Amino acid sequence: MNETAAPRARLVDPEGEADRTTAALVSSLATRLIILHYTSGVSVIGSLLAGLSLAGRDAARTADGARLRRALLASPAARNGETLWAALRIGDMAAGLPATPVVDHIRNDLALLLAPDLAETLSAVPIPPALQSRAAGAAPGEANFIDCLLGLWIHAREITRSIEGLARLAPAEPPVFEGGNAADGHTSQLLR
Amino acid sequence: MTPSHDANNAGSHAAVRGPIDDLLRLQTDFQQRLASETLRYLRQLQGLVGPVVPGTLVLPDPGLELQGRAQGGDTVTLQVTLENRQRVHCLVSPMLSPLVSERGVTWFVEARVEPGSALLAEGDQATIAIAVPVPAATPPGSYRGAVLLPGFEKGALPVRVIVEPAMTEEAPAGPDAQAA
Repeated sequence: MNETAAPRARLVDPEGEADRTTAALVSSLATRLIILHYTSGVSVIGSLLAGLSLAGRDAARTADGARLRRALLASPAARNGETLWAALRIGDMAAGLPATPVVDHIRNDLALLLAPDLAETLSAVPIPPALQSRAAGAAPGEANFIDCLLGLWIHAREITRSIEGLARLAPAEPPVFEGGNAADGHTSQLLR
Repeated sequence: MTPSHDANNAGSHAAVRGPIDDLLRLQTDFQQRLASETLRYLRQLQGLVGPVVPGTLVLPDPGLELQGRAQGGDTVTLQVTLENRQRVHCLVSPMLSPLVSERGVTWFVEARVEPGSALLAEGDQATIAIAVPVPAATPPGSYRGAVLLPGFEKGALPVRVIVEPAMTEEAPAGPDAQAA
């Protein structure tokens, strides 16, 4: 049994960028919300699409992500998905827009929920302007934090299960090993 | 519109295209391109004023490499301690990349990461254990890859797993065998 201490990596603020403090996180979130008032819905969705796609490409660099990607590509859903994507010009919405750092947003928003100095910080940063519903006669939508948080949970859970379900439709298990010099006979045996 | 134009339109409009048609087509094409370029410019302009998103940099010990050694059928466990030096909580969800041998074999590892994610308060640390089962048929060799921390700057910690040849019962062990 190896008793030596595990190697260590520190999670730090990048030099020359905004430090990850409660004030910086509140400011970042508030700016995101304020910008929504001056941005088109297509731009917001396009930027999110670009961000999700970037996160997907990053995820494909992991073994689990690569396995899932290959299974999805082999599933019958891939063809219909690509057809819909092209026919409805979904990708065009992301053209020229910066990718939203979706994973960073989750990590930063989570940190805000746990920040002990949130109340005093909130008094010192710009807050998004108040909104008034323009719906005439329609029942107003109701949104609150806890419902939304739970909604995000079920939303993410359903998305996760849907994607994993699609991957299970792939006709065959992807191989554990791939490529390499088959001259030694080992690798050629493993390639299915 | 002159009578001669009317006559032309009433005749083979599709076959004969006059200068007016060309002008209209040019004008429409120009308007489309102008609208498209304007939209592209506006979208890029919007992208320039995006909010700053505070990030996290992974700073490993100098020369850090997670190493393990095993034979086919064994399990290698790699460990790394992550320490949050930022002033707010940090969620980490490490994942292992595929491993590639010096012979170019790509191994899509089915690793178990414990804990799968860790929520670290300021100054907290957590030791992540990554168990890598080595399939019995794994070709011996040195496999390299990385523990990836999605969403982090420089979020890749190098990994090396050495798969040794399996010791078989037929392997030469005695002095006779050595002499042979």
